[in-house]
Amino acid sequence: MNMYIHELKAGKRSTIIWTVTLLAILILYMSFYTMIKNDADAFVKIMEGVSPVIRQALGIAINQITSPLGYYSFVFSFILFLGALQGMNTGVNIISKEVRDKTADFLLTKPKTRVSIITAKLLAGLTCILITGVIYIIMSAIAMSLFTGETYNMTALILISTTLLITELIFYTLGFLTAVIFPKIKSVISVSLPVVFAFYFAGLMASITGDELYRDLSIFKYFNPMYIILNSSYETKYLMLSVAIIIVGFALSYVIYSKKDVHAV
Amino acid sequence: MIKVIEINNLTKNYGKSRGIVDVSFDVMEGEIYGFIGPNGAGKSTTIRTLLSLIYPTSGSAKIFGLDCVKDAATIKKDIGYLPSEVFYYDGMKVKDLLNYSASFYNKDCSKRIKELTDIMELDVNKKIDDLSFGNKKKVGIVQGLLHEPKLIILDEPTSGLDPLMQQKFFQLLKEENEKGATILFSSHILSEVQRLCSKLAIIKEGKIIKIETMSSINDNNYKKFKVEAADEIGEDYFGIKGVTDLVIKGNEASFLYKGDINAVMQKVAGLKIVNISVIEPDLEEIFLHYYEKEA
Repeated sequence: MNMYIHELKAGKRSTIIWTVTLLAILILYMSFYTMIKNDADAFVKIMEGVSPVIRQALGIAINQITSPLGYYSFVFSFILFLGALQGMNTGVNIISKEVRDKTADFLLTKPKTRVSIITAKLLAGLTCILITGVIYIIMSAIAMSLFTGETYNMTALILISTTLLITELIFYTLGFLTAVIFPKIKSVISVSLPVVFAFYFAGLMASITGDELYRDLSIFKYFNPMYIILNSSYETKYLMLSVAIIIVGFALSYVIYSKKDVHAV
Repeated sequence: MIKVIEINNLTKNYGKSRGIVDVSFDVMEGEIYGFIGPNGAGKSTTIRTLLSLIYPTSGSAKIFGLDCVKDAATIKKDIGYLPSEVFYYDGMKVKDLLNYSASFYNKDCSKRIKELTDIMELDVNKKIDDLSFGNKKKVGIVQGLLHEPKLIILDEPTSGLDPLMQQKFFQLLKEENEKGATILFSSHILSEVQRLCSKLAIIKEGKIIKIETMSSINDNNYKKFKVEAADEIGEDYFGIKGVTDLVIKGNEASFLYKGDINAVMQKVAGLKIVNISVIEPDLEEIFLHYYEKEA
């Protein structure tokens, strides 16, 4: 418990910054909704002027863009990218900082098993992400009510917003595993940004080509907001795939972390 | 006597690079055991394997009779470790770090923390980031000893400590030893080991080349004689077994001697002595002697 609390304290500042950033973007974009709604035809025309390839890549559905959930889905694609970055950063940092800050000797010479150490870290990171995710879900509902003033499918909204949490968890797992395999990471962002961009790019390719393989590879396209709006549910295959990545990623992290040498500073 | 540390044929390879090869030695309860060798000889590799920071390629190591790999967490309840360089979490105050360290042991360490910080003259309200290297080292000493460990493992512990603080630190170690703590003291500063340890192992290029008690090392080694007599000393006067490097200049003789001390003293007694000095070689010379012999 002491390690968990220590890690939570260490992650507090970063969690607050990320949460506030995500909420600020949500509120800023949602505050434009009334304006867009009032001038819906002009906005649709502008969107029609955008290349279909780019529209597909950004997941813009012309017929939905001026509805509350359609517009929210458009805004959400940017929020999802930042959320993925938060997840990846948190995972990479919580493991690699002990080597980077040379505190591994202090921690690993304490009477704790490696499993208990990695568990404390994992749970602390999960808590940070859960805090961001839950606050975001609540705030997204409030922002929708506040800025649209229209009726919408609340279940679909909650499901879409929850995909931020799921996506963050997947990237958190990937970051965690990456740092366990490559512990000597000097700069967190220099690792997490290219990885998140690579998956984002795969997502763009999935949208443009419609290729299932790209979609399987791109975490960003596991949860299609249009599908959620129409069905009020997730696609089972991608939900299962997400759960599998998280379980396998953490299981591998445990095995590798328990057996890895921690070299002198 | 109980073996506190028991190392058997411990080998650690870093890929194709050498770490340590077939290292074996035992440290008995209550001993202050020196572990000497130059930088890169394998001291830290041995210690890091004992602490399960790294895992052995082959061989085994036991502490308190328990396996260093399987029972690492149990063993570490009673180990205090001080590395050569200490690093702690940014933004923490000294007291926060010490309390965090204490929270790993199921006992109240507050009294001992107070005692140790007083001895080390440490301001617990300062932020660790603001401390000098020497003061960070003091934090390391306190955090390594605050839970009153049964085994203290020190890896080049005195770097960064001023002579006065080194004195206090050695005194502290002696007190811990008198209370029953066993100490493994790794260093390349031989005078430190000579001052503190009762037994030592010398490591060279990953292999143990000598294990001796300090008294045996001192007894079995050359003593330096310088004799000044009232009259001229004959060229072959000290030509007895065990004498080497003999230099005679008029009424002065200097030589190294190894063997029965009575034999040389009888020869000395045959002279009318003006002055005499018998110097024990320091560990530096012994160390070099072993290194040259094994080279």
